[in-house]
Amino acid sequence: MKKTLFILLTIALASSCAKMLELYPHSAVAPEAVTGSDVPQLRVGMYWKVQELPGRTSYIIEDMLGGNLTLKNSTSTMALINSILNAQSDIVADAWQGAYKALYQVNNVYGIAERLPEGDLRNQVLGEACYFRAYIYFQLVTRWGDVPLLTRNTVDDVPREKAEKVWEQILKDLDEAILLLGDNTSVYYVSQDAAKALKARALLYTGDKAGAAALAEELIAMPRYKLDSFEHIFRDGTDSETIFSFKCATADGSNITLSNLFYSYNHPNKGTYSYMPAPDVMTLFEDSDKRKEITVTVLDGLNFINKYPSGQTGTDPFIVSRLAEMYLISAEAGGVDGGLARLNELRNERGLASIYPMTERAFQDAVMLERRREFVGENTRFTDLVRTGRAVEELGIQEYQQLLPIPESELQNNELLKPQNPKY
Amino acid sequence: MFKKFLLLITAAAVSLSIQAQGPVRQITIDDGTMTVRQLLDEVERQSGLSFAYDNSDVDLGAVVRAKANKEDVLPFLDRVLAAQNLKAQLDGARIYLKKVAEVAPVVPQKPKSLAGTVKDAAGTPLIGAAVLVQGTQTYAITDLDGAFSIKSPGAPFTLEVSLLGFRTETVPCSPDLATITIVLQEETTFLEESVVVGYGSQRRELITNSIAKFKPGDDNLRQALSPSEMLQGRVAGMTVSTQSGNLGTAERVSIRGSASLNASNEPLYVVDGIPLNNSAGSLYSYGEDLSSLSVLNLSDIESIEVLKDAASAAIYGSRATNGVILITTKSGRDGKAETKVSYNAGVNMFPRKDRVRYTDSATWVQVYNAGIDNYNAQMGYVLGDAGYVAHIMNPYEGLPDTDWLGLITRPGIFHNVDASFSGGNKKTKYYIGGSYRTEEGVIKTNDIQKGNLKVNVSTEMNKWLTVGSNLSGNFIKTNRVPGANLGSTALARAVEQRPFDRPYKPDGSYYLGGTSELSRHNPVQLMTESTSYVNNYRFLGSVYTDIHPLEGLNIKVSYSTDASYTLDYIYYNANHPYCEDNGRIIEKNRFFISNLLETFANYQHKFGDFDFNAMAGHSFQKTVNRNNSMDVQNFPATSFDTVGSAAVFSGVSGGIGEYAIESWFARSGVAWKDRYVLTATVRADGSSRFSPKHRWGLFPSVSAGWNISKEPFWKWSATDLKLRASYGKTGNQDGISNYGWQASISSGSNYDGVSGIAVSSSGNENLTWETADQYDVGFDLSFWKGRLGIIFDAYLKNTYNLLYSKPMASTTGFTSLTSNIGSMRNFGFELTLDGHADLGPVKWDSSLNISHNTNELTSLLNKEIISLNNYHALQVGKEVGAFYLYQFDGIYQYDGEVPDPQYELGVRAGDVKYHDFDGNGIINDKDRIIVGSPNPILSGGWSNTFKCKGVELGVFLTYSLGNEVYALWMQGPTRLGNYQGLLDEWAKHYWTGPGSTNTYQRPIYSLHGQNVQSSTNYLKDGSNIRLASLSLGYSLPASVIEKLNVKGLRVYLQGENLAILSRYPGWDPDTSTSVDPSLIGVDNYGVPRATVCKLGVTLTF
Repeated sequence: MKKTLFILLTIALASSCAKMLELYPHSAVAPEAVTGSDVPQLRVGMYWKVQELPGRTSYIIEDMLGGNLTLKNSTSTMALINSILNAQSDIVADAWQGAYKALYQVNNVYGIAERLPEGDLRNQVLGEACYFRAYIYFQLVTRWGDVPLLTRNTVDDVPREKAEKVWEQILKDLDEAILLLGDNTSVYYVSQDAAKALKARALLYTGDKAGAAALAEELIAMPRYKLDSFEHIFRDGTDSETIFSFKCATADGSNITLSNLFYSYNHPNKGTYSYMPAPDVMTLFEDSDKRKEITVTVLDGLNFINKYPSGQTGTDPFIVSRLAEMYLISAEAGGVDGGLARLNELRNERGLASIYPMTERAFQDAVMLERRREFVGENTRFTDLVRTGRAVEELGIQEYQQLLPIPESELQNNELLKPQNPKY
Repeated sequence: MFKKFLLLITAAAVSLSIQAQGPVRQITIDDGTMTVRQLLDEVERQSGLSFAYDNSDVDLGAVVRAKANKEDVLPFLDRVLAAQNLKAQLDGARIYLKKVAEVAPVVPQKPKSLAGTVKDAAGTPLIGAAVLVQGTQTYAITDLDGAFSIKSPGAPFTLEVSLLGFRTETVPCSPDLATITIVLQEETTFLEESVVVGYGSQRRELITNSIAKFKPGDDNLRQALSPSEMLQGRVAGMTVSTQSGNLGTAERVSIRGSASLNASNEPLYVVDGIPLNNSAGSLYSYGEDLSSLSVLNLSDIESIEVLKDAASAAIYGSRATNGVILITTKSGRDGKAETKVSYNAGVNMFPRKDRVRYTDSATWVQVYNAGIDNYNAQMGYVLGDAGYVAHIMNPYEGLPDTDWLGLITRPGIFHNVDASFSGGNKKTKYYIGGSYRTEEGVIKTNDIQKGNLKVNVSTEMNKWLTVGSNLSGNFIKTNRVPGANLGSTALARAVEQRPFDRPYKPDGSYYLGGTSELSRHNPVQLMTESTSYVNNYRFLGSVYTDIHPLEGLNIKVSYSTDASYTLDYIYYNANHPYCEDNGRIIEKNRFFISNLLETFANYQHKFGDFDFNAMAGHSFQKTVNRNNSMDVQNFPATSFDTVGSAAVFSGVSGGIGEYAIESWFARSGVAWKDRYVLTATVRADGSSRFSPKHRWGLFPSVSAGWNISKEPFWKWSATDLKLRASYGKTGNQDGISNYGWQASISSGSNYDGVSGIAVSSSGNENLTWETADQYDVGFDLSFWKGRLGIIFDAYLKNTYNLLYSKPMASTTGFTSLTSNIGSMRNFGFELTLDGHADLGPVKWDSSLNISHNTNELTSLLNKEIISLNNYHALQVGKEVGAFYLYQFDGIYQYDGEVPDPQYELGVRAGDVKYHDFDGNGIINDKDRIIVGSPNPILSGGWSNTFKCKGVELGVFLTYSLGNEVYALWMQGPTRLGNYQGLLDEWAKHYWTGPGSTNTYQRPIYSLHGQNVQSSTNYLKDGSNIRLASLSLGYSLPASVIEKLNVKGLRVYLQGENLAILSRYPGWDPDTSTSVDPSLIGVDNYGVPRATVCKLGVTLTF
C-alpha cells in the first residue's frame, strides 16, 4: 500500500511540469506588446542604436581614407587606405552593416510613432526618425554611391537604387524633419537646427550652392550659435558652436570611445594607439593657429590626435554638426566673391590672418585647407576630397577607389546588390 | 642427478578433433625401418593419442623395424619396442612408455613427485597450464586432463600456476604432498565487465551499441584537470584538445566528428545521473575560456563511459547528438574497509623552447634597415624629403639580447594529495574522499588551487527500500594569464619584442609598449600589474530512493542539484596599461542552479531462455542562471582592490536566464540465450527554448547484437565474436539561446542617462531541434580467451536542421538569424585493439585505438562559399573547419611580373605572389580557395603497460595524422620590415634580387601588409606523434607489505609530453585559439601544453 502510494505520488509530481516549459525573458518584451506608451523609451533606444551600431571605426573612416591618419609606426597613408579598401575589410563591413542595422531601428520607431495620435510627441519622434534616416543615407550614398533604399522594413532582398534617388530621399526626410522638429534644447538631441545643418551639407554636396548657403546663413544668423574655442568644444563641452552631437557616454555603455584609438599606453590618456596623425597633419597648422594644440599633440616623439581626450573609459561626444561647418559651407557655396568674408571670419577666429585669393580655384583650395584643419578627426575628409575631385591626386589612390567596395558578405546574402562597385 | 622431463607431445587442435571423433586405436604401417621418434609421430598421427615418457628411458634416435596392418596400438607398440625394453600403457588419451623393469602404477607410491590437476572454476580440466616451482627451473605443463606431475624439491615450496586467460595462482606446498587440485579463476575479459548505460547498467555481452569505457587508475592517470582531458587518446573516435597549455583552459571534445555548426559541439556530461550544465567556467573572455569541468575531482571517478553511437546516446535524446559521457564516482564495497592515500608532486615545464628561433639584434637591425631602403627607393624619397625614413640602430649596442621567453616562463611546481575511505557491510556502503591540489603553470602567475570533498553513501532500509546520496563539494581557484585572443597575452607579447628590447628602464620603471622604446605591450608589466582569478564553487548532489517492490523490479526516484557560483575578477592596477587613472576592476558573478527530478523504473526477468529488461521514466530539469557584472575605476590606492572602493562605476549589468526541459524515456531489451540481443529506446523531450508548436521532439533508437560465439556450431571456445548494428536519432539545442525563438524588444539601449529599449531579435518561431540520424555497425572479437580483443565500428551520422546563425543581408536589420538550415554528414570508423601477452616474466598489456572521420557539409544556404573569417569558410560539399586562404605562389622576381592593379597598390619584385584564380590582376576574396583540413585523417592513442614482479612501465603515445594547422602566429615574425621580433629563418634568407629565393619575401618598411596575407604559406602540417606519458611504477612485494602492515604501497615516476615528432614549426600543433568546430586549427601563440615530471606514492591500508 505504502509503495503504491509512493509510486502514484511520483507520477503525479512528474506529470505536472508541462506548464513549466513556458519561460519568458526578464529583460525583454515581445514586439506585439509594445504600445504608444513605450514610444519614449523606443526613441531613446533609437538614439543609442544609431550611435552604436555603425561601430567605432565608422566614426573615423573618412579620416582614415582621407589621408589624415596612418597606422601607428607607419608614415604611409596609402598602406592604411589599401588595407581598408577591399571587399573583405571589417571596417567597410561594419560601416555598411551598422548603417543598415541602425536604419532598421529607425524605420521601426517611425512605424510605431506613426500610429500615435497627433501631438508633440509624435512630431518629435517622427522628426528625429526622419533626421536619422537622412543621416544614415548620407553616409551610405557618399561612400558607396548606389545603395538599397528602404523606408519601411522588409526581410526581402532589396536592390540598389540610383544615388540621385537616395539624395532625393535624404532631402525629403530632412524637409520633413525641419517641419516636425522643435528648437534645440540639448546638443545631444536632434533639433530643427540639426536638420537644417545637415540639409545645408546635403545641398552643398549635391550642387545646390544657393540653397546650401541660405541654410548655412540662417544658422549663422541665429543668436544661439557663435564660433567658440576648441578648448570649449573639445574639452569642457560648454561651447556655443555645437548644433548636434552624439553623447557616446560610457556610462550609457557606449563602446565608441574614440579616445582609445588615438593615445598610446605611455600617454596619460592611455589607449591602443591604433591610429596616429599622418605626417602632413602634423605640419598642417601654422604656429598661431589656436586649433593646433587641441587637434594634435606630441609626447616622447609620438604623435597623437588630441580631440578625444577622455581615455579608455571616459566620454567624448562625437560632433555631427557645428557652426564652423556652416561658415565653410557658406564660404564654399558663395565662392571667392560671396564667400571670402565667411572664410576669413573663421580664420581670424582661429588665430589666422585674412587671405585674399585671386582665383576661384585658389579660394576653393583655401576653403578645403581650412576644412581639413578644422575637422581633423571629425569624419569629413574623404568625401570632401572625392566630391571636389581632389582625391586621386591628393591621396594617390586609383580612380575606382573613390567609392568603397560593397562588403563581400552582403553580396553573398543579397544577389540583387551585384554587381560590385567597379574593380573591387 | 640428471634431469628428467616429462614431455607432453600434443597439440590443442588435434586434441579438439579427438574429443569430437574419439581416438583411433588401430595402426597401419607399410614401411618397416624408422627411428623411434618417427614411429611415435606416426602413431600419434594415426591414433590421435599422445605419448608421455621419461627422457632418460627412451632413445628417440634408435632405429626400429615396424610393420603393421590394422594392428591394435598397444600390442603393436609392445612388439616393436620390445628391443628397447619399453612397455606401453594407455591412460585416457595418452600412452605412457616405461622401462619394462619399472612398469608400475602411473602415480608413484612414494611422494618423491607431486601429481596434480588444474581446473577452472566450473571443474573443467585445463590443458596447457604451466606449473612452476617458484625459485627453480622445475616446471610441468598440464595435459589434456589437466594433470601434471612434478618432482618435489624436498623442502616446502610454492607452485605458481599460470595459463592464458586466467589469473596466475600461487600455492604453498609441503614436501610430502602427493596430490593436489588447483583451481584457476578466469580473468575478466572485456566482454564480461559491467557497463554503465543511461539509466542503468548492463553486462557488456548484452550491449548492442558502441560504448567505450575508461577506468582511471594509478597507472593511467595523467596530470589533467578535467575528466575529458584525461580521456585524450584513450577512446577511439574521441578527440580532446585544449585551447592552450595554460591551466584549466576550455577543452574541445569531439566524438565522431563535429555534428553541429554552432560553437557548442560538446558532449553531454552526466555525473552519477546528473546531466551537467556545461557553460564556460569563466565569465570574462580573457583571451581564452576556462573549462567548467576542471573543478571536478578525478580521483573520485570509478569509471567513464563514452556513449558514442546514437543507439546508446538516444536515451538522452535532445542533448545527445555530440555523444554522452557518463561519469560514475566511486562507492564503497561490502566488507572491505579501505583507506587510500596518495600524494604526488612534480614540475610543469615549457616544452621545447628551441622549436621556434627568433633572430638576434644585429640581424634584426640589418633587416629593418633593408626594409627602410626598399621603402625610400620605392617611394622615390631621398634624404630631406618629408616622407624619407632614416635608418635605425640598436639602442643598446653591446648589451646582450633579452630572453623574453625566459622572463615570463618558469618551471611550475605542483602537489596533489588525495585521501579516500571506503567500505561497508551487506546493507550500508560508503565512500568518503577528499583531495587538495596546488599547481603552477609554465607562465608566471598562472596557477590553481583545487579542493574536493565527496561522500557517497547508500543503505538498505529494508528488503524493498534502499536510500542513498551522492554529494560532492568542489572548489577551484584559477589565477589566469591572458589567452591568445587578448591584447595582453603574455607569450605573444614576449616573443614579438625586438631582440634588443628590454623590460625595465635603468631607473627600474617599465618600458611601455606601443612606443618607439618597446614594440609590444611589456609582458612583464602586464603580468605583474594585474590580478585576475576565477573562483568556481560547485556542488553536485543527489538523494535517491531505490524501491524494490517485487523480484526484478526497481523504481528509482531521485532529486539532484548542480549548483555553481563563479566569481571572475580582474584588477588592473594603476601601473597596468589597461587602466588609465587609479586602477580598474572588472568583476563578474554568476550563480546557476540546475535542479532535476527524475523517476524511473527498471524491470528485469528471465522467461526460460529469454532475458527481458525494460525501463521507463520521466525527468524534469530546470536551470536558472543569474549574473551580474561591474566595471569600476579609480581607487584611493593600489591596495584597495574591491568594487566598493571605486570612485567611478562605468558599467553595471545583470540578468536572469531560465531554461527547462521535460522528458519521458523508455528502453526495452530482450535477449535469447545471450545469443540474440535486441534493444529499443525512445525519448521525448520538451524544451522551453522552442516555441510551443515545435517544443517536443521524439528520439527513438533500435539496436541488435548477435553473439555468434554462443551458437552451438561455434567451435572455438577461446574466441568470442559479437556482431552489432544500431540506428538512432538524437537532437541538439545548444546552439540557441534560452529565448532564441522569441522576437523581443530589450532594455539596455540607454542614451544620455535615460533608459531605452530597442528591437534585439526578430525571433524565429520555426526554430526547432537539430536532429541527427546515426547508423552504426560493428563487431567485438576476442581471441585466446580475451588475450587479444578487437572492437570495430563503422558509422554514418547525418545531421539535419542544423542550427546556424544564418547570415542575413543587413537591410533586414540583422546580420544573422538563428535558423534551422543545412545538413551535415559524418562517416568514419574506429578500431580498438587490446592485447595481453606474457613475455616470460613480463606481462604486456597494450591498447591501440585508431579512428578516422570524414565530415561533409551536405547543404547550407546555397552552394556559395560562406567566409567565416580570414582563415575559414563553409561550403557545401566541403568539410566543416576547412581553411579558406589565398594560395601562396612564391615571390615576384621582377617588377614586370606584377599585374598592374597590384603594382598600383605598391606591390613590387620581392613581394609575395598570390595565385590570381580569376586572372583579373586583383587579389580579392574570389582568389581564396578552400584548402586543407584541421581534422586528422587518423588519430588515436597507443598505451602499453609492462609489468614484471612489482615493477610497471607505462608508455602512452597519442597521434594525429594528416591534419593541418594555420600558423597565424607566423604572420607576425615573418613580417620583414615591421618593428617586431622576426623568425631567424626568414631574417637570414630574405629576397635580395631575382633568383635569390622564392620563399622568403623582401623586407619593406610600412608596406609589408601585402606579404603576410592569410595564405597557404602559413598552412602547416600538424601531424604529430607525441610521447604523452612515460611512467615507471613499483609496488612493494607482499612480503614487505605484510611487515609494514599495509595493503599496498606503490611509488611511481611519470613524465608527460616528453617528446613530439612533428614537422610543425611552432611549439604545439594541438592548441587552437578557438574551440568552435568551424574555426579550429588556428594557432596564434597558444601556450603549448607543458612537459610534466612527477613523482608519486600511493598507500592503501
